[in-house]
Amino acid sequence: MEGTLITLIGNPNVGKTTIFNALTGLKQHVGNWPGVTVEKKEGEFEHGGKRFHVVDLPGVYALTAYSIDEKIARDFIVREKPDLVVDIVDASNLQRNLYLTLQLLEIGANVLVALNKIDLAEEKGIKIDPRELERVLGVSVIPMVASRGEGIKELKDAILKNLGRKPEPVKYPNFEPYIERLIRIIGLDGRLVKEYNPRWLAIKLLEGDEDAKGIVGGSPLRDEIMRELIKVKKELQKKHGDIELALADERYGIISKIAESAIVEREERMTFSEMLDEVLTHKYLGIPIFIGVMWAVFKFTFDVSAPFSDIIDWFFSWLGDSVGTHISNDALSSLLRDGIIAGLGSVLVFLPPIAFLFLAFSWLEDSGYMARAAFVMDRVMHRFGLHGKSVIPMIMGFGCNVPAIMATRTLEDEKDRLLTILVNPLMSCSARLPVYMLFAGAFFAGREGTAITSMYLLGIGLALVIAWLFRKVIFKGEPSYFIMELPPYNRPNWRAIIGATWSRTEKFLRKAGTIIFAGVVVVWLLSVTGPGGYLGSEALENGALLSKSWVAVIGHALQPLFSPMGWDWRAGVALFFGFIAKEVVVGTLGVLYGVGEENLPHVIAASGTFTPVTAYAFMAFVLIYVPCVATIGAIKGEAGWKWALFAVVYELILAYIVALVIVGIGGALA
Amino acid sequence: MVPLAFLDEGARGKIVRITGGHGILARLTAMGFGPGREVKVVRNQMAGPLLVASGDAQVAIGRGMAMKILVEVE
Amino acid sequence: MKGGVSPKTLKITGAVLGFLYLIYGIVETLSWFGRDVSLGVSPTGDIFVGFALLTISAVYLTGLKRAAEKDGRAVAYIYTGAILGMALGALALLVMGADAIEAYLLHSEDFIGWSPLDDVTSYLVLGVLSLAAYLPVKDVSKEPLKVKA
Repeated sequence: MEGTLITLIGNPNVGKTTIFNALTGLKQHVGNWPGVTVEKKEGEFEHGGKRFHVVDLPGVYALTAYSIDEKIARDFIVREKPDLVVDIVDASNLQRNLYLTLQLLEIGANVLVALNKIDLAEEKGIKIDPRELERVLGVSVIPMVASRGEGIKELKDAILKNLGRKPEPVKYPNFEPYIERLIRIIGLDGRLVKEYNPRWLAIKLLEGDEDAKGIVGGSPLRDEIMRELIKVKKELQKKHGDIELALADERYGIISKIAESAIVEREERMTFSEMLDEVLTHKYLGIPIFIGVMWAVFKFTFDVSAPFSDIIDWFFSWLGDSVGTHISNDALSSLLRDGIIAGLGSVLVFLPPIAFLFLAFSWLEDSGYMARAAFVMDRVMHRFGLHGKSVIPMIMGFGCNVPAIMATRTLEDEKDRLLTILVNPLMSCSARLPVYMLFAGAFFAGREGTAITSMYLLGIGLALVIAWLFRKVIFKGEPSYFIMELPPYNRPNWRAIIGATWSRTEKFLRKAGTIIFAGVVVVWLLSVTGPGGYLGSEALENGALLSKSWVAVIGHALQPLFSPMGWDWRAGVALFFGFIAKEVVVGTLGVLYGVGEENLPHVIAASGTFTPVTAYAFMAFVLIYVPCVATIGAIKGEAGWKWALFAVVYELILAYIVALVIVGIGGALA
Repeated sequence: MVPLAFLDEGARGKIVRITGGHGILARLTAMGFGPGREVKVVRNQMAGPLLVASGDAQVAIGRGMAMKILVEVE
Repeated sequence: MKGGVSPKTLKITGAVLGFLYLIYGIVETLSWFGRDVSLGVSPTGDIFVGFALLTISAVYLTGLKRAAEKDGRAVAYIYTGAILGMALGALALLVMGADAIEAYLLHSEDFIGWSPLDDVTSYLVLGVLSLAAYLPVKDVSKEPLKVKA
């Protein structure tokens, strides 16, 4: 690592990402913290002729060792000893934010406070005097409104100016003599003093922190330290009861004094946020509003993105035609036109709706509404053994299950998280929509909307029932406790929103460029070749020729499996390749029926291979059966191979059962 | 002393004790809802989570947990 | 009771917009069941439009009820109702813009003979009307609260 190491820390929702982006601009990269799936963002910038390496720490409320995020943040500051820790404090929420500041000072870090959101504080009627705050904390305080770029330059200057300082530790009057006693003994071990701040170790030992015990456990003086600790703890317990609690109380006492002197004006107002919350979290209005908002999101996603999809569609068909007319080699031109271009085109037409969906979700998240959605939906989710926070990944699943599964990281409890991941593929992602549209258009003309909506509802219903079932059988127990901060509503910060939208959309693009692309080429290859060798590109237009291809071989092998549902070999092939990505189902059927997607509904309806009942069962099967490769990859990444395999198996079984039931009931009614 | 979950909307109280594991206690304390804190119930709909404010912070707390937070009503 | 806005203003906006949204909500819902009633604009036939309009109506009417009960929080319902109404109106405008691209730039087959008037829906018109509810209450949060419930 070159340059001066600085790190950003702060509570969740304080505008840390905004400040990180403002400091580093585009010079940043995202990885994972070693051993865990928590994002690690790093970046660089130059100021005053000095190079700074910036590490963004996870948003935390404190530095205990109870959660992964807090442990990561704490270990980083304790072990890497950054030259400067920029503590981002939400001015509209001063007291709670200062808790973390005190803990940073305990560690002995060189802290610089970025007092963000002073505009929001003023809107709430809170006026803070930054100079006074500086005086009582003993560290520099930079007031800023990062969302408008105010204070960034001042922050950079302050970073430069504050290097090499060592702030005074905060004193805890009721505990000082006891802390001193421990420090005296810890101070005898030269190695400990060199590596850690003895005062911090003393406080953590008093709090009964396991990591601190581990650190001291490696010291030659460990027996002496432990003996003294037990003595000190006994005395303290007599005086204060639970020491960890008493220390927390002490910190809050100090914070109250700090806040009192720094806040120069405060009046109570009904804020913008309070007014919105009054309605959006209302007992009866909350859920209908949530449903309405979701409808608006989908309306925006599909209707507003439509022209962009049309442009992409038009571009690829033009490209395919011109390639077809300019390349004379049959195999090569067919590979380019029918394989690569048609395949990529059929996937990339989904780029606009997916980008729009992510845009809408990023906006809802940034505005603060998503936290309210989790709040109003917790009651419903709880009934099915899910957590309130499961709502967000479940809804994102309507866009694409891959980012949705990644979004489950906000769930702290492992069981809640696994459960949310496992049922997520049942949320009908946008890749399945073309399949529904095709079959609804072919067999349910005039009632397409109802048929398609029923698929989404079936997916939601199954997800809830399966969640309930898994909670009963596999993840026994109640969903973990629900605590979640409800940050004040923000006016949209477009930079942050576009950034989040892009990083999610990019994941889709990467999937389109790799997995789906490869899948489509394989389908093409298996269609134009057979046990007898190369069949020529006419195989794609000529059913008789196609039945000699490898694809037909696979389809016929699978057919017995699907015959109870009344599907022919082509359906089997489509499902087989749909495993690569569900978009491929439509493309494959197009290839197998030898027509473009435009005429496909008529051709399939006329071919007699499906009846409305078997078509409906096919739609349901596509909804439920194996998640696509990218989703399996995401599940593997978040939960491991075992669960990824489990998801594949249970969904296959479920899909088969549901399809059989639909055929059975449909047959009985007919 | 009553569980926080029993307070009506708009009621204020002081947290006296939090029963349940240390993880929960540490978490709540860090979020500004430790023992000794004054809290105000913003939303309590007698089903589903509660909305509770302390100082300038506002959190949603599940009903189960709100049963384990004991408060003294003012 | 609440900064600046008279209870009378709240009651009137709550009542007028509450009932307008209610009427169009019912019209849209009926149209989904196949009964087209046209009150100035043709209904969309989308059940969710009916649902969304009825929800916003409920928000406004709750505001009216609260104002009648002299509850200081009434303003929150008018404010939020107006924001939701305007957001829905903005959505209608975006859809209109997208359709305009289809019709005028791409000359899509489905949009032959399309005119912007086709996209003037009930929720677009009501969204514009919600602006009238929003303006008087938009700065409420800047003023100190005199009485706190």
